[in-house]
Amino acid sequence: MRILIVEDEDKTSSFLSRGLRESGFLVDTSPDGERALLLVLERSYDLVILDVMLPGIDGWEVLRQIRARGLRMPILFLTARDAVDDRVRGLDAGADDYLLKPFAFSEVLARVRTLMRRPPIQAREDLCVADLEIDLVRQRATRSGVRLDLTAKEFALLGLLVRRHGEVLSRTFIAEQVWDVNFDSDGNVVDVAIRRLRSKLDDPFEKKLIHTVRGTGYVLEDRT
Amino acid sequence: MISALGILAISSVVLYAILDWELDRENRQLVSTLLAVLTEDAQEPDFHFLLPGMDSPKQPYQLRVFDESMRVLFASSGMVDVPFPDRTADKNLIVELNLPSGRFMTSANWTERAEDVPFRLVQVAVDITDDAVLLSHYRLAAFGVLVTGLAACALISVVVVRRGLRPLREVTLATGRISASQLHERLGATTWPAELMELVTSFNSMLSRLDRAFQSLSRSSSSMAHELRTPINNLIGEADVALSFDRSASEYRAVLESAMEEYQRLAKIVDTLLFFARADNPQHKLRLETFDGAQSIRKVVDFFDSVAADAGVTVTSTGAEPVTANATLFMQAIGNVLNNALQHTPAGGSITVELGHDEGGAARVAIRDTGVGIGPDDLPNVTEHFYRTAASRATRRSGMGLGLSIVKSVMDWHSGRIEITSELGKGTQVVLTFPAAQSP
Repeated sequence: MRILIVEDEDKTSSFLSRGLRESGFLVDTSPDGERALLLVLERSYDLVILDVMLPGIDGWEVLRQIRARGLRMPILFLTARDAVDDRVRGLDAGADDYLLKPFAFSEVLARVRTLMRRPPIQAREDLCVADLEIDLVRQRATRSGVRLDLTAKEFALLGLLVRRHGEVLSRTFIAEQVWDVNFDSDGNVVDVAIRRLRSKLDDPFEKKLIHTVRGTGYVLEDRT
Repeated sequence: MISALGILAISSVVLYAILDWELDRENRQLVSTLLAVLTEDAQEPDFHFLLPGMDSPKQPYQLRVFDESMRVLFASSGMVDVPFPDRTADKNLIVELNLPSGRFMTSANWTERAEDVPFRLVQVAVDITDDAVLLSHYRLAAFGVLVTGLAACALISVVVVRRGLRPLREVTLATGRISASQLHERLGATTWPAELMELVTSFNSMLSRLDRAFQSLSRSSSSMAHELRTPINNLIGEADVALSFDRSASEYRAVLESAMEEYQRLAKIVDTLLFFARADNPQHKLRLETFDGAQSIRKVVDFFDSVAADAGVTVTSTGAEPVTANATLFMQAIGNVLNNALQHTPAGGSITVELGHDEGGAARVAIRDTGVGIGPDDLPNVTEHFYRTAASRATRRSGMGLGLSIVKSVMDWHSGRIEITSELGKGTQVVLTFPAAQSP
């Protein structure tokens, strides 16, 4: 899995490539659009992370030229909120996504994995972590054989955490995936939802499965 | 001033012309009459009886008589310089002459050709030197009047203009005194002339608006600085303490994790400020779409479901209506209002979200809670950036005080409205109105 990062800010480029390499990706970087266009033709990338504001030709032009050359790999935009144009949402390629600066790395990782349609670390068929088993078809979850009494949204939240288990998911990502809302909320809606889920999933049992990653989000994993 | 001077000049010239013409006419009449009388007298064989009294240089009219062969029979002493008339003298031809001895008007006429009547030519000359002097005096006087008039005009204009503009100069001075630190100053209300009253009133009301905007700006930048100071303070303090001794990896990890939380807070502040900047910039056009409002509201209500369950508050939504807005911002606005309502409604309370439309076809979302309400002192300010009521400051549970100001920005951006009514202890109603789609 090879990723090209087109970003002119050194520090950003460096933490992105380091983080992605540590997550098992092959990463190339380019500080400008011209070099990026040469690279995309030279090697085949599975994904391009593209900053919109670039010296010389900007991200939009890079996107246009990549598409004009018949390359269809997904492209993840990085942009500042004051520059977010609604064009972003109007992008034809459904797989394309964007991230608002400033962002956390876990956010990037979650989106990269979604865009590359990488299967979850755990195979889909047996959705079970430790003694937790969930049945996506019948919308049922059990721990140590005990049926958990979950609401539909709680089940959706648990489903997401299990499917991406071992992966830290940000609050924004969770809100987007579970409730299909992508607005920022001043409050702690996701925290409350997680707490309520924990009270059913973890509180009655010795082994805790949902863990808080401070400043980043939540992860479901078996930490024994 | 120039026009006054023009009128003065034109009237002087006209008066001069009238005087000139009148004098000329009178003199010509005198010449004709004299000539007629004297010609008649000259038909007498002996004409000398005409002469006594006339033969004096002081006499205003002079006489010369010729015989048939143009020999001078008689000439009064004043006629020395006056040239002889033509033989074909015509009594209607009056000639004006400028001679060294003065200015004359002269004419000549033959006596009737008849039996027993001596055939003679009579020439008359009238001294009009005095008239010319009079006219030249008049010219001089008119010029004097003109110059004086010009000076007077200029002087009066300066005085009048100065007097007339004095209030304007006072307004200028007063406005010059007003700086950002003295926006509370107003122009005095009583002493202005009626023409300026309107200017002064609108100027004062502009000052009031500026004053309010400036105060709100300075309040929000001070709250913003405060809001930024807290996370930065935590970051510096924690890093400082962590670095003062060697620590275990897990301790460093805890510091980094705590720092992450502060970074997120900072990121959120920056993000929100950028949002305001973008919303305030009229160049940024919104991408609008028409969608099912009820469905979007249901999504938002679903999202807050766990929070509502936690708080023991029931949230219900009613109504169906297509809404034309930016879908994300529509949900953001309702989410923020709902979030606010949830935080200020005690357990057992209820919140309703009602979607409808007003007479103009604009979509109208009314969010009512049975919460603690907002006091009349806070009500006008709740949409200000970083504004928190004293009560919510004390509990520190309601975020950064940006929720409603974001809603306000969203509504402004949509050219919509936010109306908040509240009663302490009874609850609050927030009505968001999104204008109907403009038909192309």
